[in-house]
Amino acid sequence: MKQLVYRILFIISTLPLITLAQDEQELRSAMVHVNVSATVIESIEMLTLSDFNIGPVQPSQREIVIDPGQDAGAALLMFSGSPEREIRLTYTPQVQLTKPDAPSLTAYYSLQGYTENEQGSSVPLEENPATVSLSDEGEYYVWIGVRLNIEQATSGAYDGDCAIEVEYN
Amino acid sequence: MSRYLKIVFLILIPALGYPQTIQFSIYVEDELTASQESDMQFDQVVSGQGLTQINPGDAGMGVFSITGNEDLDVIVTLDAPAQLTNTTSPSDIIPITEFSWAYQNNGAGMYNINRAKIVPGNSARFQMKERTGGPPGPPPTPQRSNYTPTDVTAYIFVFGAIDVGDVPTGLYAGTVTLTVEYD
Repeated sequence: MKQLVYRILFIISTLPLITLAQDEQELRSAMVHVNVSATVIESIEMLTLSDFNIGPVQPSQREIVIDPGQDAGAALLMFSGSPEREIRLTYTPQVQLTKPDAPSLTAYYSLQGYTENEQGSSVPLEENPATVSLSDEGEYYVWIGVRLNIEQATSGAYDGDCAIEVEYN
Repeated sequence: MSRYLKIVFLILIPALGYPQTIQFSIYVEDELTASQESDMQFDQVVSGQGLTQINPGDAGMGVFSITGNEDLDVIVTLDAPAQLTNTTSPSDIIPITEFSWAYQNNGAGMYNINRAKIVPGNSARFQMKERTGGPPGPPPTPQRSNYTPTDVTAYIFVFGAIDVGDVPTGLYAGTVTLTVEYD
């Protein structure tokens, strides 16, 4: 009986020391977490909805002008991607149109853009690169106009490209 | 009944006689704490983008802090996931192709990746506060009533690369766990 009592007393008196040892182990080490994440968004797609439509050129005509804000002959592109994200458009403002055995012609491009397919509501993109925001449906429309002096032009086909690059801002 | 009374009597004996005390002391180690300073974020990536990297010093770098006795060494172990998992579609994953880390233990008050040492592997032992040259110092002075060791903060930086395949859009996430203990 005495041994039983002494054992009980011993256990009761050492309980704080056992707890203290456990606390001490916790003080000697620590653990923490850091989150790692990435948000995947849609890639930007570019679709040509219509090419330039210059129409017939008259022999006496000196210049071809297509206003991107109102002429039906303007080229039209649509960009699509993650809604409301900003995109950066970079384009070549002037390009040489060439034909074998003939002087080249210089074409000057201008752009206007809007979040919907409404040419009359589009605004000039005066900076290059230009930063715009995709609509809440992830779309943006760009009309391309051109000014081309054809005084030195001869009959036949002239070739040239208007390059546009797009990326998320 | 008598058995019950006997037990009670034995417990009460010290209160009836001359008081006896046993003196003892215990040495409690300084507390070691760890905190998250910033998450590791690859920011927005495009589906199909391929290899995407967070380099040391990039804004998306993850940072931990460890605070403890400047005289002691610690062992740090990092456990990183093998992939990031789409939080809404767990079958879609982005592999983590590279995971690296570095520590800064110069005792400065704020973290600076330029003062950090890159560590190979996922575990390392280092001094809470770097001892600049020479042999190891004497054993640390134990804490006592008139002496309290100085605490210092060391920093852990994590960075690496993921390979973004043609996966659905969405948030992909994982967890890096840091475990630290006194050596």
